[in-house]
Amino acid sequence: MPPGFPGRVRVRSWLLLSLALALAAPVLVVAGSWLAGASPNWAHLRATVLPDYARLSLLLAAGTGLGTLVIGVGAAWAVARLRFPGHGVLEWALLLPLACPAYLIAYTWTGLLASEGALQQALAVSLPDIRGPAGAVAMFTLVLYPYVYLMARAAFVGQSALAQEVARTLGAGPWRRFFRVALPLARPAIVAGLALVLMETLADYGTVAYFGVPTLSTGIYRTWFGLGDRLAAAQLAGVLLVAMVALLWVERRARQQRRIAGADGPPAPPRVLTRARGLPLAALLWLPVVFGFLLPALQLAAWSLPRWRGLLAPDFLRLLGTSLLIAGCTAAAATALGLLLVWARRLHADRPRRLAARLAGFGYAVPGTVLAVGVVIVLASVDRGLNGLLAGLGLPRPGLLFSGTLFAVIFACTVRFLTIPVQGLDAGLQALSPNLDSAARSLGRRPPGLLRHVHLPLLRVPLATSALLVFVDTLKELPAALVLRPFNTNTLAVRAFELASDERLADAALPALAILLAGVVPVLLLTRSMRPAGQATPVDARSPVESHADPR
Amino acid sequence: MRRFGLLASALSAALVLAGCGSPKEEVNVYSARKEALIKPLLDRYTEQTGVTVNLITGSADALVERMKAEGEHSPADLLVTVDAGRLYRAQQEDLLAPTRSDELDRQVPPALREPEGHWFGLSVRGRVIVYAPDRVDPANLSTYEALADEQWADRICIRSSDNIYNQSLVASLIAHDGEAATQQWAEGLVANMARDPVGGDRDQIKAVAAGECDLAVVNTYYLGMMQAAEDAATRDIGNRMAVFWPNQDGRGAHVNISGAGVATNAPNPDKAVELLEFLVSDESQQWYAETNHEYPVRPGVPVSERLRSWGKFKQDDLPLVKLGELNAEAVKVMDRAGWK
Amino acid sequence: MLTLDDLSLRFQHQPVLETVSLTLEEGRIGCLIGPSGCGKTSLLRLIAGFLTPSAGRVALHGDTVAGAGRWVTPEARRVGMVFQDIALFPHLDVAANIAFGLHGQPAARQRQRVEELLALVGLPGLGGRYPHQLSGGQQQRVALARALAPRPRLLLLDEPFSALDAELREQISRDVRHILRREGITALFVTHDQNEAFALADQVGVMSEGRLLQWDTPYRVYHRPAHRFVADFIGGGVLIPGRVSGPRRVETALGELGGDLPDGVADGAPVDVLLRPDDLVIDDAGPRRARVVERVFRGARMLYTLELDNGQRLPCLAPSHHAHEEGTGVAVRLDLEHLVVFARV
Repeated sequence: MPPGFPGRVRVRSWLLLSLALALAAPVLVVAGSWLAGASPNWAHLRATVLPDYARLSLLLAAGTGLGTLVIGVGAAWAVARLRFPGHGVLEWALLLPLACPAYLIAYTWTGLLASEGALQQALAVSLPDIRGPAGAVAMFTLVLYPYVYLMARAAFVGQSALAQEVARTLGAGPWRRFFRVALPLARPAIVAGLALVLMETLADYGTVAYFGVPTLSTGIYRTWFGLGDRLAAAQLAGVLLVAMVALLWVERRARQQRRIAGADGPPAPPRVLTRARGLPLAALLWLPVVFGFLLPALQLAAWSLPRWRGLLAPDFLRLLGTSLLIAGCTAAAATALGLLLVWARRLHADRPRRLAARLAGFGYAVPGTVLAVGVVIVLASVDRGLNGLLAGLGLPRPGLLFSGTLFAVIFACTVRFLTIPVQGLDAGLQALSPNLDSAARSLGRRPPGLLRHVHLPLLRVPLATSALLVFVDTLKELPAALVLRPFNTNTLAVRAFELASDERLADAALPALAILLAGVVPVLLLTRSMRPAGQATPVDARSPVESHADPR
Repeated sequence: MRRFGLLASALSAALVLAGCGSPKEEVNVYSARKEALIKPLLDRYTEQTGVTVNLITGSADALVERMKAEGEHSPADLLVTVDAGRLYRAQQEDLLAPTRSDELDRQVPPALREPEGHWFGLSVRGRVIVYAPDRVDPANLSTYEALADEQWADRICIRSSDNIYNQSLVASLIAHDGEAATQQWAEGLVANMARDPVGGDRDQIKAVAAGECDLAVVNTYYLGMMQAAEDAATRDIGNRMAVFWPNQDGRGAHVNISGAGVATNAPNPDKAVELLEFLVSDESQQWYAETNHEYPVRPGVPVSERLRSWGKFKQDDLPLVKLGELNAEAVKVMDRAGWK
Repeated sequence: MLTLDDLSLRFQHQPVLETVSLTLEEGRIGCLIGPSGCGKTSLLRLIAGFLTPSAGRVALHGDTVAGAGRWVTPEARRVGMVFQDIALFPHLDVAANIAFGLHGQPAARQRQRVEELLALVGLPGLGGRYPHQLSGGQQQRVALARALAPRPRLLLLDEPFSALDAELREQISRDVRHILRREGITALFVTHDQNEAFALADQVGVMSEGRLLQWDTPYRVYHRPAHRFVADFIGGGVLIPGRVSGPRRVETALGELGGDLPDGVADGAPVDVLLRPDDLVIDDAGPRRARVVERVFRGARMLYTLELDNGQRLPCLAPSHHAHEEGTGVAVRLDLEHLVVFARV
């Protein structure tokens, strides 16, 4: 081996792997408990509750998967390929439910449908109780379909007209063309969105706990805190982790296929619908927005109306500030770390770097509270070590520098949401020809120059998308802040949850509404970043124009 | 190295936020009582004494894990929970220190505190039967045990077995009746449920009002909150319910406590005891009753009109330590009975 | 100028390149050809520094840039490269693409150099366009200009014209040769099109399964193939069986032929004789009869496939005014300038 190059690279590879291990440590601490052997309670769990946990978790995953697919893919296709009245507004409005945490929409809908609630009073009919597995599926579907919509829409917009035209010459009608051509071509993007949906669904606690649906996620809590068996709980978390790793694997496979598939050619022009056909379609597409965002937001607004003065209270502003600070720091940290990990792997895809990028996705796979407790264990032991070390040196003890500060919350959220930039930026990088890197290097740019002058400008869209998604998700994230926040510090999500879980929905409405509104801003920015790429941001070096514009 | 710059600034921001407290008299509270249900009291304490109270709220389990992980560096002085089981677990983990205080011993009856002073009850919460008077004749109601009788088939609402109050109730039944009898009882109760457990205690009361079931097993203060609700519909539901105290001819109704203990590694143990004493003072006891419709730990403290309206009751004097000891057993019994 | 010494590359214990050695003189154009997967692109990437050799040495102007304990990073090698997929930076306009390798130089000099190169590649005034606004041929010219801008010591071109269609390809490759010649640039191409290689290169290398089988002038690669594979791969000829019938003599189905024989073939040993399509002439006075099995019209020439009585098929390139029908018989004679014989293995 020549010296210099590979040696330095290898040192850096191990540094990166250590970084990824540090980020995955909270998960590994929990999952590693399998090494201790099966818990004595394992037989009891298997005989009594485990089949139910598994069945309902699968049911929720399947139902939510199906629901988000139908709404997400259908809406994405309609918005990408058709023009109808209100198209421009709907394009971004369909993303709004992203701002709504699942547990909040669950509480809000329960309140809306309750016998003393607004709907039942207004309609004077008896409405069904949504609390149960079916209702949970509905709630998850309403707030999670935007993930599928976001990814599928981008895929449909970029699809060339060529494949459609070929199918037409083969006599395929519109439905057949959708199912046999457009859908398979967009499949990798759809699967990527679906993977996020399923991971969110499986790791959710707040909604299923409130709806009384026993899943693996609630099972972990109950086993840990009810049975007092941390080992068995961690092992349940391990089961969940395996399911998530399988999902991540599927997602990876899907992405690899994307590189092979994908026909060149200019995008197909959208079809303009007549008013008679466009209006009903628009009405249909507004439904998920109305049920997933507008109605809950209205209800929350109605509840908080008598308390609107609370908005200006210094206490409330501090709450808002803390939430924004945490979300902003997490978005920046997660995006930077995600970029570092996938970019380093692109420079040099050796085993440590590949493993590092893959480890980074683990945090999404475990329920937030489990992760938060993992973070406490890891950071507190770092703090203990640090205090011990400094005391040994005769220096003043710094106290709980990591576990007792906002750092812990930001760290936990970063670990939890790191997978979003990792997946998003990886997909973005893979769409860039490796020869762009080679060209830049051969033109005398060292890796930092390559990053700055080639990759960063070309990754602008996925960078913005990742950062905004992390921001919104952190704003909604509850358990990390609940378990890890320092003294006298609160976030909007914690305040809303404490009040809502105490069944004080009306009091919870104000902070809940603030979460929604604070989340809408990045969601709107997100829609700007997903506008069709302008001249400055085409992704492929070989443009679709070439086959048409050649002067022959 | 932009990325490290970001992390560093995040960290320093965190330190600035965390380090606001200058060296003055303070006491640190880890509380499972929600902010709204303890902060006003703590503020009053600060007003009276000038001692700053730093507060973190959260689920008791997570707070216990956090104290455990923080070990000797934990800043926690006082752990407040809303059930005895968690205090027992914290004690088992050596997180609570035995505390002696004449004032505490005088205010808190022995059954509601740990014998060595590891923890003390702050307020009492009864788990009662709430029923629709138009459909249930209270003469037919007697004990928790009798809820497994056939006459209640498809008439009972009760929340999930995930809930600590149900776990404690079942633990108390195991302590009194033994595990086998309790197992049988749990199966009978599950068979009598009008629906799969869903929602919290209020939701059970609403279900009774909606006619889904005829009676519900709930903590008293939830009914109290509904009866005192701002919106008329909820108030109306609450006022249509009646309260029945079970097992009055025998051991008494099952009660739990909200309570607190001084942390083993408390940096300010003296202040923690003083705060504890404040929390069991007559003034504080009345506050629990008024704001959250809980019962004072010490008989004789005047209670609110609403609490009086539910009648006097005899409470189970089973040492609350038992609830903690038998909690895991109770969860298994409910698992086996298929109590969701 | 460029020297490779016993260069080897293994990837996960699989040999990709084995002991490749060659020298390319200053100002010369070299070209590597071979079937896909033969390692020619890997060889280019090794020279550019995107791969690290497992053994052997790469030297530029006598400086070792890889091997023998030295390693020079790609960005420090001053080796330009043009890629198969063109790989222009899509976020930069043409001028910025060309100026990409000129960073650190004063802006005025960068501008001047960009203008120079735009003129050189025949695209003056297009500096403000973005890559996706250009045709494929224009993009390839920009890619060339970009690679040439920092005045590299060596230019590598990896199948640069394969993305273009046939006519355009010929024109661009002529232009590129012209530019390289005029600028006196040392360049190494990779292609799988032998006509392109012959048209462009001073030196041609034929590669197969990670080995460089021959590194020679185009004329010698065609007429003096050093290896059976080279003979087979280049020029569309066939190897017909024969037997050594004396010193410098081989007996074949086309009669006894004379010429150089490889060392160490004994009298009576079985050998293969290379026959190119232009070695066979249709001549009514010819000594052998053959039957036309197939004919393909090639404009000025006609490519026949002929079959001898013993079933041996032979290609024959003849002027197209000789129109022999498929199935008819013709007489042929050999017009061999020199004999290429390989011992049968």
